[in-house]
Amino acid sequence: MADIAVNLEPSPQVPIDQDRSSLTQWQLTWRRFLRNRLAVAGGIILIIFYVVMVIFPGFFSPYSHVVQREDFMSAPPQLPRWVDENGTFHWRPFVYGFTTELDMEKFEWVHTIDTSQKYPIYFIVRGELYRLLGFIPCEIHIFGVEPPGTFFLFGTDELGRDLFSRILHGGQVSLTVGLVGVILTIILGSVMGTISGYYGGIIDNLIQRLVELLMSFPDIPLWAALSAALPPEWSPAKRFFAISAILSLRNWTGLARQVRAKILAYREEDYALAAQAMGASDRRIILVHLLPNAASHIIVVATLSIPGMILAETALSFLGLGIQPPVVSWGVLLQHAQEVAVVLDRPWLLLPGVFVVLAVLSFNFLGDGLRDAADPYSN
Amino acid sequence: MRRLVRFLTGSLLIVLLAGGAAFAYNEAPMLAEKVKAGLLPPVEERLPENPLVVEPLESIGKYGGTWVKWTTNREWAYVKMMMYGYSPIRWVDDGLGIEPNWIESWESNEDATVWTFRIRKGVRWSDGHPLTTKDIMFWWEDMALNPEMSDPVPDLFISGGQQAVFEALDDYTLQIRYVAPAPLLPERLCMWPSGCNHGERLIVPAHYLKQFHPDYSDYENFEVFEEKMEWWFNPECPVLTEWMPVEHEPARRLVLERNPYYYAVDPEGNQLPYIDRIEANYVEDLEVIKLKLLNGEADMQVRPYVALSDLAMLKRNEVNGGYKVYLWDSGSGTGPIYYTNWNHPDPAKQELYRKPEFRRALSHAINRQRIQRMLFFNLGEITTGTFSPKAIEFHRTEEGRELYRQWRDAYVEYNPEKAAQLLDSIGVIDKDGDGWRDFPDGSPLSVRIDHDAVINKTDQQTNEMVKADWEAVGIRTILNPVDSSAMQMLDQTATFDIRDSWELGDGPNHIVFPQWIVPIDLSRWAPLYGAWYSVQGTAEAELELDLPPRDRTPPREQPVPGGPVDRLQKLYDLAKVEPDLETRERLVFEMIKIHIEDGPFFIGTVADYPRIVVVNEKMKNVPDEDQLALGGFVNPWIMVYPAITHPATFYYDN
Amino acid sequence: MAAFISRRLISMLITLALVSVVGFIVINLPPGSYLDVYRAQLMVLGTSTADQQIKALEQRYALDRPLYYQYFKWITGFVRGDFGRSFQYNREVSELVWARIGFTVVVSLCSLIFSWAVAIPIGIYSATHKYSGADNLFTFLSFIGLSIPSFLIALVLMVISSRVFGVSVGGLFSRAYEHAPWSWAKFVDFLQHLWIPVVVVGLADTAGLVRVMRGNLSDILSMQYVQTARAKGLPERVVIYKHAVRNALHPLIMNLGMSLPGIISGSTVVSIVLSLPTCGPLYFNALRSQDMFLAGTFLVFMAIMLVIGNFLADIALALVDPRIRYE
Repeated sequence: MADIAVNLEPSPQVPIDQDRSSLTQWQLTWRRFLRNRLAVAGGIILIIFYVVMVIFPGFFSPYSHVVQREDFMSAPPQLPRWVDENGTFHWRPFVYGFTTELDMEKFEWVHTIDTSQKYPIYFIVRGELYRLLGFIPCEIHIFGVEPPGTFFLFGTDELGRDLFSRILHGGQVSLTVGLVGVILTIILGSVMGTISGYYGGIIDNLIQRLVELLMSFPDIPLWAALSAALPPEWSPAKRFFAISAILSLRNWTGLARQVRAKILAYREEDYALAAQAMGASDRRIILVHLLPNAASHIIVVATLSIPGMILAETALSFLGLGIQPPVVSWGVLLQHAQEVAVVLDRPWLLLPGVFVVLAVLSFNFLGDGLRDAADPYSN
Repeated sequence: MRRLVRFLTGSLLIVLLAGGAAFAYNEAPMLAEKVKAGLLPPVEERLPENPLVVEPLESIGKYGGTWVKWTTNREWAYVKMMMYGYSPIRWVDDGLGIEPNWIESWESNEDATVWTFRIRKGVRWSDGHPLTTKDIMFWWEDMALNPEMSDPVPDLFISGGQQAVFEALDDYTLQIRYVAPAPLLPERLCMWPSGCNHGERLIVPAHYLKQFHPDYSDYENFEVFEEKMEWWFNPECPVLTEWMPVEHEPARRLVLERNPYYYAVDPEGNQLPYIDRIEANYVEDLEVIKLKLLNGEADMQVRPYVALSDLAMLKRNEVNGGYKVYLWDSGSGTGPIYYTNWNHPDPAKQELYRKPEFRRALSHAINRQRIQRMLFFNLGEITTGTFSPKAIEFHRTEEGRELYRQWRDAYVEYNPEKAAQLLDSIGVIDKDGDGWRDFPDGSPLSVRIDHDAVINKTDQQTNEMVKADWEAVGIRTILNPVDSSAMQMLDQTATFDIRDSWELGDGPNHIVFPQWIVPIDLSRWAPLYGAWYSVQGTAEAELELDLPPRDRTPPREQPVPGGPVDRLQKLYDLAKVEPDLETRERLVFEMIKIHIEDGPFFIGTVADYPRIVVVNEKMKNVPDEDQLALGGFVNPWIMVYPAITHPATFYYDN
Repeated sequence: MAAFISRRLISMLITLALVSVVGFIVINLPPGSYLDVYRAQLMVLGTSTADQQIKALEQRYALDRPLYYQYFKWITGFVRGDFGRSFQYNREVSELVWARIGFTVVVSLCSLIFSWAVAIPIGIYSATHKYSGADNLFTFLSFIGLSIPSFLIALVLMVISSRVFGVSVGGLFSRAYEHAPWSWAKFVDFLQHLWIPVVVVGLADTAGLVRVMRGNLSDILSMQYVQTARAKGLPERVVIYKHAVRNALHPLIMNLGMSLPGIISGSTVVSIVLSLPTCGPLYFNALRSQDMFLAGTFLVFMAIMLVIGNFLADIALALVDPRIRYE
């Protein structure tokens, strides 16, 4: 997780007449952004992720993420097919069922595909009960098969839980931790950076010392120490927010430094001096003149730090210090997959890693794209 | 039968020796060299007059080889459990019997208040110094009885509320006198060998440690003494074990070499052990150890335990890796265990937990077949939760066997309807319609399973399955992972709710280590009552009685007279001083009946599942499960696996 | 220059002092102490003697004294090289720490060198062949490298190394060579074990460096003086290396300081998976057992490595860019 020095100098906002032949700063930015296809792709993926995983995980998962099924332990992924064993094409995709046997010689569960069991995949079906948006009981899922058929798109884990559903629900936690952490980072970083840059003097010095102090700690060891201190009786929700807070505790320093540099620069600009001369209060100067110019910068830096938070959450959960089971997050899922036997025999359990990579990649592309779009002179 | 053979062989040796026959002992080549170089006395002088004779499982072995071990335990506890040499007496046959180790014989008077032990003449410490009763008396007088030294007087030397009296009748004869019978003294001397457990010693190398003892040296306190005493960290400290530490790198590795003064031989007079060296390497992560097992880089491993889910992978690789996989029984009485806090701080919960209907409902709600199928490959047996099925009381008589079955099956049936009925019958129903059952008075009810944050996979999975089962009958269940130190506080202050903890694996008989069956200390299912018992007969018993139970030190409370705990404690009081075996067993049966009738006090899932043992195929004399007396009894620390399988007789056949 | 250095040194010391205080406090935040953990372990063994021993241990470790007393005793020992006592191992922390710090430095340094050695050539190639197939591939790979959780790759690589190549894994040496004197064979064995942690830890950093290098270099390549140099007829290679790359290295050196935290903490997580004899595994265990002096010492040492690394980077930068010296 290397921090990249961000070199950003947006020009101050100058209001322009709403003439059709000229565009505002933001419109220009937007257009530039759209030209960067990777960034757009990243953005789209993220929107999909957030809608599917954070807002409606229950609907998009074919199954509950906690129900254990003793007949389907460690089942490999069931892929949807369109052509059956006789070569016939079906419009409606289907999956083959399988039979399960316990091999007492080899001590493993053997799942054999049974081509005589064909289960067509239906869309918008009734399935297991969940709570839409957390409180509305609902049974509708986006796809599924009729029982006793099963459709484990990514296979199951050792307790027979559908991995695809668990990935979606885990994404809800991992993506939200990142988001909450970043919001906290933005708030802390902007406030501290602004105060530091604007008021200067002793306050600046103190804050700088604090920043330096925090940056002298290697991040994971510091997070580990703080997480180890969380009282055990805290509920998973409380723990969740505490982890986000801990993660942002070190992150805000980077943003604060950047904001401080910006504020220092803008403070001396003409329009700021003019506002001061006119008697505008400090607060007004900061909020109305200085911060908005730094806003795009802040957003970019924030976006680029989300990947770090997501990866940090997975690392902490892997160490057993982050999100704890039975709450599911990508980090928790990867911790369960952290075994030789998984890599050798049940590799589909490593799929949450792919989602982590996708999410992080998308945030990186998006952040890059935003930065390039906001500053046409950087490249 | 095997014991008979051993006895005969041993006697034969004694006869030959006594007859002055020119019976030559043999020794390992590496020692023979040292003898030639004058560094060691010849083997006849190193062995005692009457050495221990150990019969190898299959064949007489060859000397040589290095036993490579990988461990995740920084105190080398798993290495200590491979060696039995330090123990005065040893278990044999999975706990069915006991036999002399460096103590040659013992006897007691009729009521078991006076015990006399005879040490083998000529047994020496690993540096050659003779072992005598002086070493025992040094421990007793200068350590155990010394108020400034942290070693306490172990419980096995207290009977009738008073400490025993030690007397060395001569250099090789020790007498221990109690005021009340102590019938199980020899059995208790078999537990915790090799100083495995801090504080419960009998003997230390006095000639070495005296120089660090404050009373005999310039040292002001015991800090250096205690450090030097830890022989598994300090290679200079003489030992009695089969192999002695020669090199120690903290948290990296421990190298042990054969003890030239180890006091045992095989039936042909070859001094044991066969294997020259043990190399124990510390590794951080269990997964790395699994890779090493797959690659055949480990020679014989029992611990750290590998979960059954990895069995397929290990078996598949047997040929390539050059090893065999054995499955030794764990002897666990419960498998993953759950017990309610009999002394719960919340009065409403305490009342609820004391109702047998509630606990039975919890038990009937658990689908043990499913757990057995999913996590244990249908091995082991489902159980309500009992003392180890290998315990001797469950084997000696038909009555014992029957009682085990009764206890095991008492509340084992998976019957959610019955569970629901039981809950309904005590008023635990859903009053506010939120889908969860409530207390009889209507307040919301939830149970919390407190477990260690660092938990093994099988326990984690069982927790999740049990949670699903209990919620299916309407009891809201929260899984609460707790870090070590915080867990300690929950235990010490008796504020846990439902605890999932280390399993009940204890044995081999119910009285030597009865903590699970009768609360006698702050641990386990009735902490405050157990703590009360632990101070009886000491000065503290009469103090602090005006304070509320939880404010006392230690927090303790008198058991309700006539209640199950009180009855169990009274039975235990009788049993532990009962010299007659059958009467004692009868008392144990009474205690078990209380568990059956008023229990379950702890809830088990799958008992006696197998443990994976990986053995290099070149290593011989390692028993498989059919060659073990009871099929294995791996779990309990006091049972000392694999030391009980005579690792001194393992050898490499290249 | 000397003034610059001495100023930085002083501020370094102050920072480290503060780090030790904060670190010590943080490590002692969990309720209870090592003795509770120890007692838990004794409990499992079922000993009936816990209380007495605990009292004796409390006195021996001075755990009955307040925290600030502990801190002072500990921090003043630093000067003498006495870092307190580890409870778990019942020995001096210094015995446990030195060897591991050595290996941590080796792994971190090698990862750093690896990432630079790989990133710079790739970055140069990417910048000079912008938007070519290879460039796109490298960009893509860089991004992937930035995104994968390190412990996952570590495990996968370890399994591949063990099952496919038959190399003994775990630690930095095979058992045979661990205590043997240094030789060519031992060195080869060391490399066979070293490559996984170095690659895994360095991966994210490599990826970042490639992108920065590419970005900076392409910036410079479009600048006036480069065009001038080309117009002067200088061979392309000279243009690139003598003029452009040199200038592109400035921000890279500045980034060096920023790479270090990632490398040091990355190596802690990876060390656990690969069971390396470095700070990481011991540190996390010490945290869990509240072995406060051991954990605290490790934390301070990791911070020291970070701070010194930054310091060296600053000096390098000052050497290269005179403006910095007058800050």
